[in-house]
Amino acid sequence: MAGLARHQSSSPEDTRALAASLAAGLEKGSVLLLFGDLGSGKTCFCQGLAQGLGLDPALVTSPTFTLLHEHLGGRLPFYHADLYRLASPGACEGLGLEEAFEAGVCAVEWPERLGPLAPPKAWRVDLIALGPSERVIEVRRP
Amino acid sequence: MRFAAINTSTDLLCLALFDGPRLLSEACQDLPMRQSEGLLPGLDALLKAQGWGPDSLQALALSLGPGSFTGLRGSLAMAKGAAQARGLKVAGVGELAARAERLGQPELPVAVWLDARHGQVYRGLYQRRAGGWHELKPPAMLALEAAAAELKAPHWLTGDALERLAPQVEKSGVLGFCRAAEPALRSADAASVGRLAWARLSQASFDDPLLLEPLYLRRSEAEIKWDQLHPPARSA
Repeated sequence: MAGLARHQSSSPEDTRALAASLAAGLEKGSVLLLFGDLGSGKTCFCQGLAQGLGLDPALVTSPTFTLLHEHLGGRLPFYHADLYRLASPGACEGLGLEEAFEAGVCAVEWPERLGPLAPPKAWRVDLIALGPSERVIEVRRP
Repeated sequence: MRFAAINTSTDLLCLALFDGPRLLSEACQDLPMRQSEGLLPGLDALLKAQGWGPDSLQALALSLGPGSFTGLRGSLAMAKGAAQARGLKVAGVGELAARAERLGQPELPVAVWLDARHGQVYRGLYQRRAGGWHELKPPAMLALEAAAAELKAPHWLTGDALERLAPQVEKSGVLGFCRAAEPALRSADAASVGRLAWARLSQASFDDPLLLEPLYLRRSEAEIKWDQLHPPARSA
């Protein structure tokens, strides 16, 4: 059932804990589109997802230059994409991103770059900075 | 000529060894997003089981897709490297034709429909004639409805769209006059790739490995929509 939940976070630990708790509701084919400015906590959120899927969160780092990281060994394969450096949906296609969407749980930073390739049934997460460490995190279920 | 056939155009990693036209062994493994990890160990295992050393191969036969971007990139990269390092000959074949080849020598023409996502299919149309397959139309990406509308007479139908887009296929009405291939014959394999490639290898018709590219049949729709929404910025 689609719905919006608004959460407050006052630290990176809060953000990770929230994401870790959300991971329980994810299944193969779940895609999370993470919207937020640089430094808003998107990678931190992904570390929490990884933790919730049974992976070591310390292994989750920003894939800004490598574009797509794959983490195996948890409850589901976890794919972490950062499209900041991509120019168009055509480039996303060549990355094989739609295959990652189907193969496990996929979190996408800078999903604006997906254009028409954004899956219609995706989670939408907005991370909004209110202060140095305060965040509002809005989570919309598909 | 001894050669290996490789098909990573789907979630499967499919490998086969041939001695000329003769298929010696074949193996398939379900490895979504990880075909490239399994490729060299899998090939090594087949070679060892056959008692062939690493230098025994003279050529590689490859499926060029369309299909999995991740899988195709991996096998092409490996083939390019092996061709440069060991001087192996390379022959690429289209995956749509390989699926038709898998049906043997049918009398009806064959329509191959592979799921291209977003309600689209990669479509191939072939007719078996003396001397091999004749391409009735160039491979293309089409809406499934458009691919169905092309079929006016009985064809064999094959490809994963028959399962993955089953409701749309049913609705299109083609199952009323076309024959669906057995599910076990619809999936990707390496033997069909090898058989098609042998037709070329035996004529000494090779591809330049450094110029070889996957056949993506790119989804131009996405590019077109994007360009409409985001006209290119003019730099000052």
